[in-house]
Amino acid sequence: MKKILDEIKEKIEKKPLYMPFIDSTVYTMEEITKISKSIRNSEADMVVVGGILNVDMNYMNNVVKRVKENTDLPIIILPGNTGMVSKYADAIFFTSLLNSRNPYWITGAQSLSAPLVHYSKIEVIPTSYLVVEPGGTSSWIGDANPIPRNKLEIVKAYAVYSELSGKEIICLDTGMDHSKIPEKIIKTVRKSTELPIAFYGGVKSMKDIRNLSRAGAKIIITSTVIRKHKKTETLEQLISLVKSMKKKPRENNSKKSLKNGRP
Amino acid sequence: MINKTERYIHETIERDGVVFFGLIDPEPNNKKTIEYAKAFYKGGADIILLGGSLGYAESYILDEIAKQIKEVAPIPLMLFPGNISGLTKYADALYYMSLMNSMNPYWITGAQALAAPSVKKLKIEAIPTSLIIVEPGETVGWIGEARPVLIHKPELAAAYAMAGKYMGHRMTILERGSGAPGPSPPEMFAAVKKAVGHPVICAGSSKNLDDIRKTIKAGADGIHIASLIEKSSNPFKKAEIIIKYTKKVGKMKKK
Repeated sequence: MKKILDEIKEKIEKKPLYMPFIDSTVYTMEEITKISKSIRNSEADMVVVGGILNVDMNYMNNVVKRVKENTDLPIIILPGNTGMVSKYADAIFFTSLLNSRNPYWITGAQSLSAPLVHYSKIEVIPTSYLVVEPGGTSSWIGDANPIPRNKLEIVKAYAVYSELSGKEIICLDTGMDHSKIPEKIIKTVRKSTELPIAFYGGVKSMKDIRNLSRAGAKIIITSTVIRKHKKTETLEQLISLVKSMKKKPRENNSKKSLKNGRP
Repeated sequence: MINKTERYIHETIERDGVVFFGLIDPEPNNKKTIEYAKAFYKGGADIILLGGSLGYAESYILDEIAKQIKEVAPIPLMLFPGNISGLTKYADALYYMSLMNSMNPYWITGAQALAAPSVKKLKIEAIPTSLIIVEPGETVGWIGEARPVLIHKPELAAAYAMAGKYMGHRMTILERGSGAPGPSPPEMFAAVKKAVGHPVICAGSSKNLDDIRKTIKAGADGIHIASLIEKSSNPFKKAEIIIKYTKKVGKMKKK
């Protein structure tokens, strides 16, 4: 029943997953086609489709269909608002912006879109969404009270809450333009709960990706890198990023298993 | 992850068609509190529920009351907390609730996050639960800054319940508040049950056996009862009558 979630859990045992994010509210259909094609040739694991602004379900259907035509990868929706649901996707990260100041972003939008999700019959993955300082567009729109980077007990509280309240994934978002990965925050979440950590926050370089996977992020969602290079270098950039990311943890794993005396 | 108490709730519903919660409001130094727990246990309740919406629910008081309840009523003890202080390690489980239709995030995720490390440390089984306040809301609606679901709009309650389910909650409670003229209407229980599938609970406000029957028949899998026996001159007798009747209705529904 939880096909995609099981696949995620199984795969992250071995290495972090790389999921490019396609913003349905930013790109034209031609650009979406182009990006999807380059994703197909990359080593991406799954594709995330979503957007900070809202689109209606018809448009969302068109976007998801277009992505599907051009890649073979599972498609997961990361919704920005109520209309971002499509029966053509494989699953949806059903997010709740836990540290919003406005209930609309915690349970309000969720209750308005729940019937759409139900009728779409796609797999639902209960997801905690946490905005970490400084926060970007989603923080502004979602009226968040961003989690301070150096007050680790706060993020710990939300991490444990996520586990106890039935969430399956914790998604951390720092905003796209911020350059520094919040390693301490990610480590704290990793120590507080066994839920997989997804990170969405302006991942720009291989160094970022190394830092992320070292800190414990298991799902790396990139949007900046696509946006930055959407004209020319998408494919090349994606592949090099993915490769650099996948090598590192694999080495770690093999060292660890040798130490344990197991193959 | 589904644990012991939650499994017990599922099994009880499977067996009897309904799970009966005897709700106790913790009042310190009140012998009646313990008497009611005893009455619920003797009458055949499945679970004792320890509430705590107002003031008294400091944890050292709850500890004491919970221990005393455990002595007279050897059935699972669950917490129905009113705020972050409503915790005791002597409880078997707790409704880890989000007030879905609150207008203040504190009551949806704030208090829950603040309490989360304690819940984990005390090793109380947390059952992720949606609490939905239906008109009029009364005290709990006022304190929880709820925008109560309109009584004649079952689809609003169903939408919140469904959102709760997709957010990971595994139980749904419909609550009209203590002192409300009756439980939420049967149509609402039917709509919510259809929307979520998982256990749906009617929190209080049942005025008589007929209310209980309609609620369960419509789709509720469990009920909380408190004041019905508190108002009786013979709580033991009253508890027995209510619980027997509830179980009878539950079994009829199963058929």
